[in-house]
Amino acid sequence: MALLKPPPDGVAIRMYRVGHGDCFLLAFHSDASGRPFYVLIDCGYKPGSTKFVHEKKPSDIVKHIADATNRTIDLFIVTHEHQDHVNGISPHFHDFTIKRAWFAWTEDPTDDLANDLRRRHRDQLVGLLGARNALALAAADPDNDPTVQRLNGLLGLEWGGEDENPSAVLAAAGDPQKSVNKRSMKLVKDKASEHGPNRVRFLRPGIGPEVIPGTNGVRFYVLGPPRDEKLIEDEDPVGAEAFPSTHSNPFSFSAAAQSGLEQTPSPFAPKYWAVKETSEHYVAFYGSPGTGVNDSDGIEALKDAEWRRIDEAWLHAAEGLALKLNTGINNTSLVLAFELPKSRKVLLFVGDAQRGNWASWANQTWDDQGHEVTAKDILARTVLYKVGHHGSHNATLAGNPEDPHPNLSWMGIGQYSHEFTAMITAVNSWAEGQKPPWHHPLRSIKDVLLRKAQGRVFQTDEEISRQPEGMSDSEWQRFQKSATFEELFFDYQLFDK
Amino acid sequence: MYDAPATRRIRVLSFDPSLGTQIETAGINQIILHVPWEATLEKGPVGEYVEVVDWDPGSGTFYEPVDLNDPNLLAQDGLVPSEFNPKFHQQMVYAVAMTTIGHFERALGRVAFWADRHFRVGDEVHEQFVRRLRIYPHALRERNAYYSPTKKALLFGYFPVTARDTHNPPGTVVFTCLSHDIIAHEVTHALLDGVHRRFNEPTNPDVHAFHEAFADIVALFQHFSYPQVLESQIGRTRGKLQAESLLSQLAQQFGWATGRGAALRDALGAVNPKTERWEPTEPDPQALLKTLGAHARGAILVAAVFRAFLLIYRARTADLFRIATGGTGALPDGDIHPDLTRRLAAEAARAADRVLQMCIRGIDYCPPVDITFGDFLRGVVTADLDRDPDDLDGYRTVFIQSFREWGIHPRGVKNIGLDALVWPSGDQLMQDMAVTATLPGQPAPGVSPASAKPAAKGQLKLNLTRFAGKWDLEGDRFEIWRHLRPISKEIWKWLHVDAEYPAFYAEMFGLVIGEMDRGKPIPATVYRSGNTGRPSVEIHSVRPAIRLKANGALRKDLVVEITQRRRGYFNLKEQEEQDRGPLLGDETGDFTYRAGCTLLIDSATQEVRRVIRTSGTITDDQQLERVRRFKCGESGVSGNAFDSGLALSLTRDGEARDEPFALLHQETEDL
Repeated sequence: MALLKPPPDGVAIRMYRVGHGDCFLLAFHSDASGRPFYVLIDCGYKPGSTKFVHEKKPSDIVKHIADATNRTIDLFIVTHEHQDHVNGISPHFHDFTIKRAWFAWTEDPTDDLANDLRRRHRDQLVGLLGARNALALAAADPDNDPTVQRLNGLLGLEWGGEDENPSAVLAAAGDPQKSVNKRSMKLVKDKASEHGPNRVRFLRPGIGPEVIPGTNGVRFYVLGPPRDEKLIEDEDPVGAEAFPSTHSNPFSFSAAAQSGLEQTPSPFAPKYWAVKETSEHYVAFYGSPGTGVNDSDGIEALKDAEWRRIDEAWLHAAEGLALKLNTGINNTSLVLAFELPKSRKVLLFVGDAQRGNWASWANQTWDDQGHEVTAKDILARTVLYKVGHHGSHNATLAGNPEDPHPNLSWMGIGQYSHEFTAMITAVNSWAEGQKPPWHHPLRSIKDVLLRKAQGRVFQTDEEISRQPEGMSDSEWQRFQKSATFEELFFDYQLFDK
Repeated sequence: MYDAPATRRIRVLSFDPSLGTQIETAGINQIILHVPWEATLEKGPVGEYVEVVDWDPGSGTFYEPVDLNDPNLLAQDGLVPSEFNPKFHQQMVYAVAMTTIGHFERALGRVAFWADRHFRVGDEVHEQFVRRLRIYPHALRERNAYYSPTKKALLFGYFPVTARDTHNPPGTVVFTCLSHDIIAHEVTHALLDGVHRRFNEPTNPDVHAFHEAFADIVALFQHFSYPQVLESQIGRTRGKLQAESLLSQLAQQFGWATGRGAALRDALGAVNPKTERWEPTEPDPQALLKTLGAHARGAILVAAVFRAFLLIYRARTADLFRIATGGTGALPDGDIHPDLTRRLAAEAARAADRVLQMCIRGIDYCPPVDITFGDFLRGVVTADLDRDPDDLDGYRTVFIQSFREWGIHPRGVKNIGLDALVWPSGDQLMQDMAVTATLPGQPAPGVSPASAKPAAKGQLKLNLTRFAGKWDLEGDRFEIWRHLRPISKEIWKWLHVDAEYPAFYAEMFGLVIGEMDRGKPIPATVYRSGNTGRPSVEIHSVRPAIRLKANGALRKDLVVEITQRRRGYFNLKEQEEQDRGPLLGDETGDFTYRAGCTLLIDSATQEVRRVIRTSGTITDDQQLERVRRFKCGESGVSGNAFDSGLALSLTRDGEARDEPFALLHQETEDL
């Protein structure tokens, strides 16, 4: 199989159809003649989604990457630590050469703010795993219990791995430091470190424009994630001074979920405790599981009705907390803009940035040799947008040009509007089959992208084989020349002119 | 022998424990509620309406129930407020819940019913009567409290304060069941669910927002029924209730504990983050267009209602201020006279009570599903008109004005004068239809609608009078419930069998009951009755409402809610295919689309007094598309990145766990 080559005057973008997840290979011209400069951005997928796209396996995709790059990645960028961005790495990249690696500042082990943030995420995950496992134990049929299933989907993202049913993995999960996701992160860092002391970079917003070392003048800007105190302010006093010796307050959800029912203290003194078995009130109204069942029509519901019990209700808080953790991690996404040297066209890769991350982009400017560059400038020159978080709600902000927060209307302005193209990494048919369904991509976001890009919207599970409505014949011909649709990937070429 | 007392005096916290920690509010920290005397009150407390069960599953502990009949407690109005005594928590949730229930019963003119328990056994739907709302004061370990429609229970949480709280010392545990406002709010959710069980099915951005707003409105105006609190705040604000005060705020401690630096909600204003000072919020007619989250949107409705109250209060106290100031209207510096405080408090209490009663009465006048704020305005205005045609005090006008200033417009109403807002009567609709009745085949040739009307009335009368005598408000609630049940069947029969012109009534009520709909076939996705094969009609709520009109007359209405349902699909093409049919087996679709009407029937004359229809019928594809877009998150309702703002996992029909309010109330901050 052939190496991926950029067109003579441009860049090749390959969107791998790995499943519901991200894997992009970019081929730039290098500063020396010969081999192109390869950038790989993420490699992960939600297990089980790949087969909705084709019959090949994610390992086949990695083999394909190996052939297309000769097993040498010049720059490996990991946007954030989620299964659908990294689970393809640790099992399959051992025999690759990785020359450089970039991460968000939130991965930096020498950054106090980053360390606080990661510790907080770790503690949250520990509590959530405890709650998930308690719920699974209590459920008659955990594999069909909606809350357990929901938590499996969400916590699977945090833990990682390639198992389609993560029940066993999550049940056995211990220290999140040893998660599958962490192994992937480590592999990329270790491999890049082999090539010298400064080969792993942790990027903060505001960096740039800088030339990507080894390329023929391609520059980059860092837009996110924000260094925002809010990201580490927690509602649970985790690690706060008040409780230096424990993970959290003993009356918090997390503490109770971790420690199991027996050891969790009550907030009230023992003199108020009743012995359940001998309390008339308790026996009359709460009985014991299995009592209080009468399904007759037209009667008064029984006092000790089974359906009124709440034994596991408190553990369901885990669902909301898991969503919150998920959003938190998504918002640590490294957001990068690549700028082509001549035309200054921008390729914008936002990872899974959600609202908090998006909103922060306009908080800084970049200094280009004395010339101030704003987020609005960068977005205006965007001709390729990697759509955030599978095209979900809140991961592509809608809005107007005059709004203070960056939004889609800021992108691809003027001469750059004719080429504006979007790439959505979503397997909709798989996502809608989740319980409850994940609306990825959201119809309204897809619609507005289709309109803005005049039909030039790639989506993992859809080939653009027909001329989209609204696209002119000449534009369709041009588009067909620059786009290739294959079983394992889509190729798209951008020209630097 | 002595007569039983009318009320039981019970101590509660007027707001929450946080007031006791500050000198300026410590004096009003505790109040005594006068709760109707329940002769059969048991330990728990367990009375006729609520049962407190103090099981704390997070710590595996069951707490001893309080015995309010203990002579030592009776003699001192119950336990002294204490955060550390769970029995006081039980006492407080009981007393505040009973107070809220009292407001409802008085406004609606009937005993309160909790939502029935509905469940399927094979193909049959079974209903059971739920006598008491269950209250679990220590059910959750999170910053949350919610009403569970499936358990018919309130679940309160407790949690340690956050690191960001500057008010409470670290390590303080906050009990949501000690917040007067949170209790009143949750009980109201349960009471509203007892009236409209489909109001927790979100089909537009207003539905959940309405549930939240309504619960807040009841909690807010309940503050005004406590004279001690009211007078203190009137004194503090020198009678200017538009200033910052505890009266317009909800859940102080909860707000501080979750790092807000202020009460959880404030109907009047907010702290400006730049100046860090409280500022009033001016009405913004554009706010609704920009605001989609359930709480933020609900806050707009609350603000509109609160503004209506303030306008009334200002008008009704203008004379008092004139008297007190010798006509200048400018109060001298310093505290106002205690007599003035008391008079102003009396006016505020009266106006607040009237506004609260108007709001509660309005809910009988709402469509059975898909409520909007505009529908609610129409309901409030119509209910008030039915009670008092004159409106000498201008309450209705003020409501309309305030809602307009907040940009709340009923859909499909061109101008918002009073006439356009009032829901039509059966007579009006018949007359309108008589003019426009050109539908194919309807009405039957040679029969004018006018002559059809008396027949309809007569039919209804014949069947209803058999039940009318058994609605009295004093009897056992289960007996009343049992007497009301067969009326559903009578109404069903009337629509399907007895009515001389079924299609004519269907048109009038916004229903589809024939084999064809205006000459067109009915989509296969519409649910049909197993017996007749026609679109099924669910009569899921029949309730009496007995009200004293302003002129002293007694009006006895029967409120009937009728809905139909249809399978909806996220994918438009799939919808079209399934609409053509035939459907496969027990196909349920991706969501359920409902339409129908609420009817108010005068039990004396059998006249259909009000017809309140949903915005489309069950065959209306445009309305179905609107609901579809909403369900797919197209309205941009703020929420999570998976199901786009709708907690679908918690609201799916028939799922094991159906807790629409659990996630809605959960503390989430969208960074």
